Amino acid sequence: MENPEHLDPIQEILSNRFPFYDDEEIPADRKNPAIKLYGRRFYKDQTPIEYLAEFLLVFASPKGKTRKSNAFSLILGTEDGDAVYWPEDRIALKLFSFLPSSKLDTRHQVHIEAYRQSLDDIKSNISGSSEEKEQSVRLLQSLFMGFVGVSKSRTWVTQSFLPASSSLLAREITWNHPQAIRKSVEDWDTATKYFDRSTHNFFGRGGELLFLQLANLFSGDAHPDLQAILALDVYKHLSSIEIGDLQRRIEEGLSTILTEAINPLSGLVNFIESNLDNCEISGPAKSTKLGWVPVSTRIDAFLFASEMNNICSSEIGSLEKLELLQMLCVMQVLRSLCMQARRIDESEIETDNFIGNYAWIVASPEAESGTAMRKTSQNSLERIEGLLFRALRSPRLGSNGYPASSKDLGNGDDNCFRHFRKFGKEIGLIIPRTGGGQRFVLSPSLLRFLVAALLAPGERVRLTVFYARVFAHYGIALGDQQLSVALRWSGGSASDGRDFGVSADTAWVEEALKQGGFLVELSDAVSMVLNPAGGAV
Amino acid sequence: MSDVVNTLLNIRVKKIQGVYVPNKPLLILFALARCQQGKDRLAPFSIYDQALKSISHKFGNLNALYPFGRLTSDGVWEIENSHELSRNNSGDLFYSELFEKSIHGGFTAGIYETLTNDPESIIMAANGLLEKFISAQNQETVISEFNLSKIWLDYAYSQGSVTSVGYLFERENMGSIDESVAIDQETKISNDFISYINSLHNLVASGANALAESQALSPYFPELYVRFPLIDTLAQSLTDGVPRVVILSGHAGDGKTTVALDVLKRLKGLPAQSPLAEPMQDREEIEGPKGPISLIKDMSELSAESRQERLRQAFKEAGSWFIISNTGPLLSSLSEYAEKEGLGSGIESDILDRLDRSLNETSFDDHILDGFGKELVILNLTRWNNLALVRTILSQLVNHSGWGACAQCDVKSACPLMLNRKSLRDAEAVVGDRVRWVYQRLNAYEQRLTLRQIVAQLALGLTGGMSCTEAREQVEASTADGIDRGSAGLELLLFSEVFFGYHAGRPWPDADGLHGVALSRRVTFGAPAGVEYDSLLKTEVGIGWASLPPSLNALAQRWQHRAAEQAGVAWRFALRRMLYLFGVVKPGHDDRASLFLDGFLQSPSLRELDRWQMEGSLSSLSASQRNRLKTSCLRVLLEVFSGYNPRQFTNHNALYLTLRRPDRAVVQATQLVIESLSFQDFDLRFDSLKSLLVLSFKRGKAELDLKLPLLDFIRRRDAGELGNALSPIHQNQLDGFRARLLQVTAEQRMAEDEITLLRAGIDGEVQIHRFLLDTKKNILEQG
Repeated sequence: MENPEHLDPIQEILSNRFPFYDDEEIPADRKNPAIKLYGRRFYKDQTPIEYLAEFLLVFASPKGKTRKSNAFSLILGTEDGDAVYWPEDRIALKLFSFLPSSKLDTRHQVHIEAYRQSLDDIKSNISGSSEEKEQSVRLLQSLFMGFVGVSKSRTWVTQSFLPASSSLLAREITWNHPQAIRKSVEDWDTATKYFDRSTHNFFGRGGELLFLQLANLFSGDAHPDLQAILALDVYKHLSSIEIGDLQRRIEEGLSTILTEAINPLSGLVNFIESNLDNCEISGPAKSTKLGWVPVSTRIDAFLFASEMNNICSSEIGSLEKLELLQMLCVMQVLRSLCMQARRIDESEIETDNFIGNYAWIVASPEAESGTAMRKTSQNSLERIEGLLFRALRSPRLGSNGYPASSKDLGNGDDNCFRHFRKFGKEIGLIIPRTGGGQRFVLSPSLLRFLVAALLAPGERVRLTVFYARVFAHYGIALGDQQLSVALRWSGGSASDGRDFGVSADTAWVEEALKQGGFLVELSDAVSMVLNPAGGAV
Repeated sequence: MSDVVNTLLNIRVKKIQGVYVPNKPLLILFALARCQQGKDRLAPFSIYDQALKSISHKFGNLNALYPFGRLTSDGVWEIENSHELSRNNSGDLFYSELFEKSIHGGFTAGIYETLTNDPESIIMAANGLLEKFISAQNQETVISEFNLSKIWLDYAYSQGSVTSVGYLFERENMGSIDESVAIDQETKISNDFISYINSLHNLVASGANALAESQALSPYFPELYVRFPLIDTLAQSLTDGVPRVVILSGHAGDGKTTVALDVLKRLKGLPAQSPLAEPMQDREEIEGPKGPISLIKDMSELSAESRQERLRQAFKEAGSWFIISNTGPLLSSLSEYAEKEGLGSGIESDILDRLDRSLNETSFDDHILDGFGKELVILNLTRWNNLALVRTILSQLVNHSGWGACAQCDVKSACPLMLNRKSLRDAEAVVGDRVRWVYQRLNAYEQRLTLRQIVAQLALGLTGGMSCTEAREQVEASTADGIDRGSAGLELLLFSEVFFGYHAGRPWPDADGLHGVALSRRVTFGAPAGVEYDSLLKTEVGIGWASLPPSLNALAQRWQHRAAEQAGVAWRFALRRMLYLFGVVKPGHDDRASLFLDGFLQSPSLRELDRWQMEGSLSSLSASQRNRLKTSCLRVLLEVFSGYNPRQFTNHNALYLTLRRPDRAVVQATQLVIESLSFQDFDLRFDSLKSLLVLSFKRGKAELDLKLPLLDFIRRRDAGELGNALSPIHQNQLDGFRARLLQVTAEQRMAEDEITLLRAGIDGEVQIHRFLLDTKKNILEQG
């Protein structure tokens, strides 16, 4: 089905999906232009940590109809039916850990009673005096509270853990508090039907989508479109990667983070859960059906996978790896939004040395108002938002040659250019958070991420090669050659080009890299960038 | 006038507000100078860029980018592989690409041939360009800096020591000076050695002797010569009969050419301290005792094709080769050669790794890169600790016999230059170390300085850029008597002021042109060390710990008097700088002196680290001192890793590695311990190759380099100073150490059923809670 010559290429991009479902689409698949373009779905209100948690949840959960296979795997296991995964609830652990800090008005009496009972149950299995038991419980609660991922003002069951271990990964569950109050629920068994395991308010499928991108990449043999980019000089560093090997290495890397790195924590989770098995939701296990992604995102996924492999194989602590993986998920969302938009937007020119055909021009966070670079990066953000805005209005995403309805466009914009802006601000790629003059910048933490993701652990490259690699992966223009391409793409006039060509000042990038310990000056004209996170190159 | 001269004089030169932009004419003038000196037609862009930058102090910011690219449209210029180069929208080349690929350029073949066949045309073109495009006051700078010879200027140049008109600059004669005293028409003494010292820095026009090639021919140089310790190892590696290729790279000014000259002299059996009879050739071939040896003076100056050819010869032909190269061209050429030879694409990372290794002067084993057919040794002078030479260089400048000529001068007793020198000689016991400590501080916190930059800063400190004539004017203008006639002049050039970029207590912006001075100014040496101490500075008590050279006593008293005034802040700074550089510690005042010196250097560990570096070991520390230092380090690591202050632990003899979130998004009141490591398993050692202290776990299983800023952080933190945040570079370094500790202890990691938690109680004390998890019975037992 891929790239048959008689098909319109854009139609091909939009219609070729992974996994392929032969049953009917849900309405959003047909209406929401963002879903039509990017798959189901990128979701603005999902936090970065929830993107990562959901991604790892799918990865670590058994997949396939029988709930027996493909846990800790990037394979879907659709041989026996639909693409589904079987996430854990972890409701008992959340009750034990989060109820004391949950909003008072959302604590149902049944929950409070179950919580009290759970404390007694746990204490009964702890040795020592009653004081020691009491203290031990408090210690355990305090320990798990330290691993809260997202709390905000949510009730206990909707809060999530930092995905530091597979034993902390749990599906989204919501609690229908008004309904439970109305129905005068009085015991746990009755209450369980007011826990909803089918919502996607917090785990909005963004992590699922990222997982599907990788599953799509690893679902077949080497593809011609990948081979084509690997032939390009700027992607030479990826040319020795064998897809099967890449998959195995990522699976091993993620599994190590989630299981081996912090064994004692898993032991404690098992202890809590096994003592509170009466606080689970009764009934059979429930699977979650995955959405889909366009097959054409395989190239974005390949870059994503190579970066994930670098992070997983670093010799740094598992929590530090998770922090970088969270940043990677966000950056992949931003990159995918732009790359896929460019695949259907034919009004822009292509970019030399970057397969994504867009560019982000970043300025120093300290650049003063009115400086050329600051204006340029501001203009660059406007161009990117324009691209994302325009892409959703393509008649190809509407029906019968007309753009989508304004309501559908509004929904689409939420998960496209507004999503881009929100995530960009979350990670410090776009400043300021409020007010005018919004622009692309690179914070020290983003630079640290770029080094960890784009260089193999222990690898050394020249600074100019690093700039080229940053551009080849993310379209971020740092060096003057990349800036020249980016300015051309951003529509800078000849005179603009000359001015900015002159002032392509990368001193701030070099200083930031140096401050992080990533830049080593070898002579007055040559510096190298080093990924110091050990490991074999 | 020949057509070529006409063409050169009629290039298009942009005007801004009626004034010519001099970039293009200057580039041509430099290229003319190269013609005159018989150099190759094409030269790397970096050479042109460096030349223009060397005169930026006269013309404002100059770079060669635009003239280098745009002269081609005037029909006089050629650029190697021009069609393959990237250009921006305006058609201009990229600075980075020109540097990285070492792109060569120069006159077209026709113009070059005409110029070299007719030397008069060079003079005519140079004269014409100077008169047409360069202002009169800057012409001398251009001629001098570019080493243009036999240039006739039609204007009467009457300033400074030059009083005649005609062939002003006969550079060819530089090597044949046989008298160090010249007597002008008014029979006043002018010591050429002072001019020579001034030529070592580029603050004034005549910075010509900054380059090693000029030094090789200078009669003053042999006495200043300091032998590079690695010469013996280099000579040995080239003559031991094992064919190998040794490549030496480094910063411009690190001493690559000096090393090459030394090796050449050694291989040719010439005395090391004598000037060469003739300049070193681009390629020198020497018949060694066990086979031929080739020496390539500067591979970076060759075209890309020639570089490949040289590398091919080096690796394929018999004998050993010693190649000097700038780092950029070396990387490009070696990587290209390796690719052609099918040595794999990852070779560049290996080359970069060798370039990053600390230079071992006595053995090159760590610098070998295999796979090239011959043993390849890559050395980077940037990775050599050049500070060991600082004291010697300063001493040789101060004690040089060239000063002897001043003995005949009638104003010698009040000459500020002589007074400055005398102060340095009187304080010789301390000033060498004090200067070296400043460089240690700059190296560790700011940027490493090259030997050329260090020499320039020291030379400026000696003369303040003042000539003999100016020194005399200072003396003659004074109304004071005796030695005091020189005091006003001495204030302007006192070493402790000029070295740090000041003139009589005030910043001296011109001195910022020297990199060392600019960096020193960033640190603001001389800031108050403490409120109590600062108030004492104005009294005898404040400087009572030090004795100053007698030659400075009068000046010190004057500055102390001014420092006591309300607006005397600048003088207090100046006084501190004077005390720092010249103050000899009086017996029994070590503590006060340490307080002052460490405060001045803004580093509590620098002098201690320097002592270990000088000794090459920690032998000066007793066992208990060593243990205390180790415990300090581990206590700070405990705080960084766990977030708890070590004082919160009742027994702090273990380093706890906990599951602490890097995002610090929530307070982790209770932390899970992943590993607990006894302090006894750690040790401190001194790594003499890296020249730093290393914290080692279980005899090297995991190691942490304690560079000066990290050591300072530890010292300050352990002393209870707040507000010293760990910089990202050290945070990353400590994170890496923590990860390595976890890695090397993974196998012995406590069993899964052993749980250790840390939690601070209400009194702040950290309690350690241990549990045993019985997974079969599902019971948590108190440990």
